[in-house]
Amino acid sequence: MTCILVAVLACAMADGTAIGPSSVSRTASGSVTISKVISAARTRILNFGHFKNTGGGDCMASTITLDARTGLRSTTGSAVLAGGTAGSGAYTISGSANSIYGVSFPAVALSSPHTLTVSAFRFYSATNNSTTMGRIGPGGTDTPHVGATIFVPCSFDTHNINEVVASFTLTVTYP
Amino acid sequence: MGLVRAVAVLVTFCGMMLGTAEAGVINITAGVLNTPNLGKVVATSTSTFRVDAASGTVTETGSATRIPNASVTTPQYTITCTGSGSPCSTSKLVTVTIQANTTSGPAFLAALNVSVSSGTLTSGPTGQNTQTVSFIAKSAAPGGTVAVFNLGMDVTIPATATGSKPTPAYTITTTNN
Repeated sequence: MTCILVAVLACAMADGTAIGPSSVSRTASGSVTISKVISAARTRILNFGHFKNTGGGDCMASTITLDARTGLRSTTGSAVLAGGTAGSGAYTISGSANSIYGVSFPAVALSSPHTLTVSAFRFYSATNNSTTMGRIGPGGTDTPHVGATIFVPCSFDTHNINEVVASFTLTVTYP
Repeated sequence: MGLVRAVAVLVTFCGMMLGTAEAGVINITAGVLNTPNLGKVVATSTSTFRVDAASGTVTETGSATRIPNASVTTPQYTITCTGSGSPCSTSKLVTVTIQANTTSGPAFLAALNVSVSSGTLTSGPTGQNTQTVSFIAKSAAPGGTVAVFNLGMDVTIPATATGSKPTPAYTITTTNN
């Protein structure tokens, strides 16, 4: 009789009804990339230096372009360079290390103190071979330069005063 | 002799049951790795991004900037029953529980939400938008689908969290009763 009871119990267990609950688990995750706020601080003003237009009666449309990479000036028309402390603008971009960032400029800005028209802003970052994008370095910063073109009216002369672009909006964003 | 015969019959019957009652297994298929992926977030203040399980729509509480601020793909999981025998041979109840594991750090799961698109539910989902969500579905025949569900979540990013790629984790557990 005991043998039968044992057999019945074993049989009931084999049915699975007495085995009890079983469970299966799987672990997974979502993802997100968290970036630091990106910001720009000017460390050197965009400066066209001293110049004038010597065209006189034969004056033609004249410009001075400041190269973003080299900081050197070049002229068109009857514009003439006349010294000063010309140089490209310099900025410190701060943000997440090793991140690409985009940059944009206004179409037009005004210089001071003579309120000349400045356009065609140019961007140069040693970290990225692009005119519109830079890369923040491992230390969390990048130091790009900015150049532009200034229009020189007929008979204009800076009179040995540096012509700078003191105010324009430089926009930096993560793409 | 009669007793021996009875036991032998019982053992044989029992053996037949063993053969036909091979245990079924509940399986959880893998979702898409590391989803939902919220993409890039610029942390300016403590913010929570709620991903809706059904639509993938992301809504934000806070002022952090998410780039781009678009819908995301939510992970879809399928619970299936393979093999014969319990729980696949009968309409057993299968409890599916999703538990947030990462509840602190640079990006943590403040809550979960599920959208069940297939299955015969007998309970739930309960605990929607908390850190533990569960529902109960009836098991299916071998090879059948117990339930299909998508998972959404509230991902909180503290203002101090910067420059990292966290992967907040959760665990899906099925229990057949």
